[in-house]
Amino acid sequence: MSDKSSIIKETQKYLARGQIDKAIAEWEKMIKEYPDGNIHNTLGDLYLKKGDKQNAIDSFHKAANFFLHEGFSLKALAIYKKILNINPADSEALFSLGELSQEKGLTTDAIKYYLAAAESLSIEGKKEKLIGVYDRVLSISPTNLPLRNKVAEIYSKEGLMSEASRQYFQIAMLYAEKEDTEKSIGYYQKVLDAQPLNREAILGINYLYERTGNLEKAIEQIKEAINLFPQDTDIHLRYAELNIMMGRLNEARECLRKVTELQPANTKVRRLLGDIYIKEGDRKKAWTEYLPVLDEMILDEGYDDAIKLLDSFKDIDPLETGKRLVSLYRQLGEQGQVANELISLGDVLTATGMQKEAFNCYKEALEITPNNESLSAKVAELEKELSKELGIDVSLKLNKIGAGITKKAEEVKKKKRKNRISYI
Amino acid sequence: MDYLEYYNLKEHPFSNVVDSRFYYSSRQLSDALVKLRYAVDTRKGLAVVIGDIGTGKTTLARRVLEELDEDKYEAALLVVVHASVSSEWLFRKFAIQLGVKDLKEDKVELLAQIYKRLYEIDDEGKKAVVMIDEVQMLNSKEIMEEFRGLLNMEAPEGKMLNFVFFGLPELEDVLSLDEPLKQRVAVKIRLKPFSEEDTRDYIKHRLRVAGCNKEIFTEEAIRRIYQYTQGIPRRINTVCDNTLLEGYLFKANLIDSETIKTVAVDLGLDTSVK
Repeated sequence: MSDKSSIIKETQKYLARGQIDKAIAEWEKMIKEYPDGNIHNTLGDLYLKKGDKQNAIDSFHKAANFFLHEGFSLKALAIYKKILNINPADSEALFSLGELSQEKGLTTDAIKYYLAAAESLSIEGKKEKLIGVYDRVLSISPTNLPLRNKVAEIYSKEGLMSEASRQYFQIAMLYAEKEDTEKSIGYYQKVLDAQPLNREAILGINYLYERTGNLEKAIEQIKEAINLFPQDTDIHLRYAELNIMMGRLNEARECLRKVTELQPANTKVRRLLGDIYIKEGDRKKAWTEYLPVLDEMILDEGYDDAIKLLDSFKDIDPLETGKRLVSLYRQLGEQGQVANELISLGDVLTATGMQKEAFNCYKEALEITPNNESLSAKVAELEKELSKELGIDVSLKLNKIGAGITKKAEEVKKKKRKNRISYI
Repeated sequence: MDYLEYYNLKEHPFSNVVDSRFYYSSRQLSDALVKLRYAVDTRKGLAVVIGDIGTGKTTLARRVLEELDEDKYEAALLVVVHASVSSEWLFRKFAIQLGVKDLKEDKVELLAQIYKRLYEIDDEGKKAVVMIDEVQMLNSKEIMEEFRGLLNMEAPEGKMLNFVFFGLPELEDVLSLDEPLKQRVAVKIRLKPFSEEDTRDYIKHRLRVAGCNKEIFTEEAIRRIYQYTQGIPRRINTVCDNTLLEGYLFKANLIDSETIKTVAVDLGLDTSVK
């Protein structure tokens, strides 16, 4: 292995004599043994002095990579700027400067560098890389509509139609979010002009027709879509949904029947059937249909929607809705609501003659709200009633009410729990 | 004197023994609890919890067991400790845990006893829940088929027996041994490691429960713990426990990232130092 300091001495000697090629040869030798960002940088300077721009740029890139890898981003930034002084269109340097600016939160600079990098890549004909750069630009400012539109137009000009459509679709959605229906429809239309079978755009426009109250047009459009996508359950479901809105319940049922043929366990069918029964005033049947929908809501963590649905069907099935509400609120840690639901459930159970179960509900509610006097009275009354009926002193069995769980009881419980664990 | 006294702790905060007092309710675990309770309450039959080593499956299983009130649920947790379990042996364990008396030797008779007991449980207004930890060890088609058979027992309100399986990702393959059983999975939960924020809260929570109210780890140290442990609770416990010992030995009131690095190297979690 050569000695680093002796190589440096050698190169300095060559440089003093103006023998750049020899100096470069010495540095190239050293870099093989001591790879380092500073040496690559010096090497780049030497190549530049010699007028060899390409090798200078290559060396600077290597230096910048080293610095980046070692976490010296400012040094890397300075090196990339040196590259741009030699070649202002160096796409790699421009892209890296974009990344560094983005890292530092300099959004405008980042966009500027990325766009310049994209322009260079476009000239170089590197379309795949170009898409990556534009994706990066848009990720910095995803809701910047003029920027996205510009990108879409560039894609279109480059002949990258599916990429252009993807951007037009995003713009349509962004306008829809802003409730600018007209512009949103316009952009969906641009997608469809390029890709007439883009089902997302078809459905997107369809929802916008609904939003503007143009249900007839929405139905007409979705009917055409069914011809294009006869096996697509989402399109059939949308047709069913629109029919329900228009009060054409038989047509809606027919659509749902088709979906069931295609996909027997589709939960959305159950939800829409529920909606039909609601329209027909048969809430009992609607509740049966909504049950699997409810399960799905809870498993998808849509707790608020589940609670809303359960609340709206309390009159139809107070027992089941009550049980589920207690379970949900308990797990969500909303103790006040747990107590309220337990009391309601207790009332329902009392009315159906299930005194013992009602007693348990009230008892649990009282543990949560020990100062509730009317509840306390209710518990005492039921306790008396049950003691008489069962011939035992229920109060003895349940003497922990309101007084909290005693340490002993807790210990017994713990012991019991241990017994519930077994090793196999 | 050990580190407890030095850091003013009443007990070891990062023991890997499951202790409900140290239970940390992350968003993920509380969502899992809601889903499992829901699956049981609505008698869905089979729920599955899958997670890598140390992600909190056993902790979750114990928590569910604790939350199931004995007045309303006939619940048991079986922990598989060896792979050579026969279906007969498994049935006997179910039966014992469900409270079947005078177990019959014959498998068919035993099944009838289990069925009868499940009816009794149902009549008592309770729900039967059998949770099994480390199910991936039951790598047998026969056993999976037996599970399916038990799941076929239904009352008008739903399944008479609810299973909750806990296991490593290999559990997916074990379930695939019996495709119809796999299709009966009504709820599937995947436990992921903690985020950096959860890791921070978890460490602080355990220290608080152990009686410590001051900061022991610097923010940078916590960040390092997360990097080395990748948010896996069991690893967090091991790293923190060792770090407290290291901190005590070097009389460090506040543990910094360097101490974490030292411990990580010792535990083989930092491979950058050879």
